[in-house]
Amino acid sequence: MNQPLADANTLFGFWPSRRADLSLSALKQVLEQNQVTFACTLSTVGIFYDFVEGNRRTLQACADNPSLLPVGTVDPRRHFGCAAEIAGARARGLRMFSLFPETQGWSLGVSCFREVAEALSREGLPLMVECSAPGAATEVLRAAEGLDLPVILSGADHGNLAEAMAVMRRRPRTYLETHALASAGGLEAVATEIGPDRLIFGSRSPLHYFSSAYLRLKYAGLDSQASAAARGGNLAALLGVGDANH
Amino acid sequence: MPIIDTHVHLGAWPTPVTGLDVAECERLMKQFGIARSCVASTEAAMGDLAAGNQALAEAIEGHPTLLGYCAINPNLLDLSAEELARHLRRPNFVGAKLQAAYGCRPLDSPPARELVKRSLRYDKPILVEPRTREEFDALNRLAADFPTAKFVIAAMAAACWEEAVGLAVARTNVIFQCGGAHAARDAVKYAMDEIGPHRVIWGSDAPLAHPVYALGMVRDAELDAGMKDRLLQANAGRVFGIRL
Repeated sequence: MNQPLADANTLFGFWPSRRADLSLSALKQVLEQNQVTFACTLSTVGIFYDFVEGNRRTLQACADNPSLLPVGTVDPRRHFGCAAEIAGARARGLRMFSLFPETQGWSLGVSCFREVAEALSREGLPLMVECSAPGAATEVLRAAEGLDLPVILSGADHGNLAEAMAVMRRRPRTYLETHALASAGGLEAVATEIGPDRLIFGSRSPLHYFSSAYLRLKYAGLDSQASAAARGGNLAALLGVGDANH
Repeated sequence: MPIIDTHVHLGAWPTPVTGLDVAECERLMKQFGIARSCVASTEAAMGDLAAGNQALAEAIEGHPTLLGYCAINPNLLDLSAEELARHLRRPNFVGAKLQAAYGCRPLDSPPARELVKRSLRYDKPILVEPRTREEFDALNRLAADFPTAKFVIAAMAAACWEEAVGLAVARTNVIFQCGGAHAARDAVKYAMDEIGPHRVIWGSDAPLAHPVYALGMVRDAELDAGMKDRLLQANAGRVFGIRL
């Protein structure tokens, strides 16, 4: 029997530089085809246009689709309104926040990011953040210093994986989302050196091919317990949804 | 269907990647149904060009499922020309790998052009790795000036895959290689549709991308069986002269 599968990193809407069908129906089709039990998702309107409107659309889409868990976002470039959007977000139903410094073009070193991290810590919501560039994971470590805040690093691959692992070693409540972990040995290195309880499956569907991330994890050679944790157990525990069966 | 993987590296990496040796490469090939792999030396790419190429030649000798790329570096023109003469005569070397970036030379710099010219007599493809607008422009000029040479754009040019598709559309001697670590969901089908089904091949870029990661792109690409056959085997067989 297949272990439950949860996807921490999906989205829907549009992507200005891409032609891929990112509609909500396209996302749902990918998730159904691959028997994903639940997925965290957000509207790309919140990335590219207006995070307040994007979060509203995310909550609306997830209200209509119980297997989708709403992820909020804010854009620290705007700064004003970010803390207000995060305050009360849990009560509104948002389960996590995701930030896009590389897509939006801002530095993790800006103090606005620290203020967002503080607001999320007060709200008790995890943070997922793009970290594919060298130095990004270290900036996250600095910005989240002293905060009670689970952080999921997204987008690390072989080029900055050693840095991400060093950050994870220093900061226990830091996780690694897997969609960009393409290389041979990378995913296995995290499981061995840091622990499978710190891996969280994500595909970034439908912007990216689901099967690339999925098959990479499937063939990573993790034992049953470690595989179950990475496939959804860790995410379920982090979000407090009980287990990956949602 | 037996698969031809047109882009694999043997040797160590400076990052947390499990470097492949012949045994591990063959194990992965068997696991994922890959009948032939075209392999290049990481030592030749990042360290000693001649020693890396020679070590690769020795490593794949007696392993008929492994076929070699001869690495060349336009910064080392004379040595690279010697390497072409030494290795591309071998029947189990199927192409050259032009390391323009590591050599800090543009793809259409005079020494790179000279190496392309010298490679023509072997009639074997040249693997190139453009990543910037300037490199695509340089490859465009190179492909125009050497119409009988075949250039393979490695690993979809990562995030620049749309530029790579555009160049392959414009130049019939440019071949688009699907695979690598950039799993953009619209890339494979778009490439097949735009370029046509005969000049798109598959290469994992292992171990930077695990073969199963790159195969996942094909699995999700909404191609019919005939198109998958072309992508995973037939086109590479024709481009590299590989018979299964």
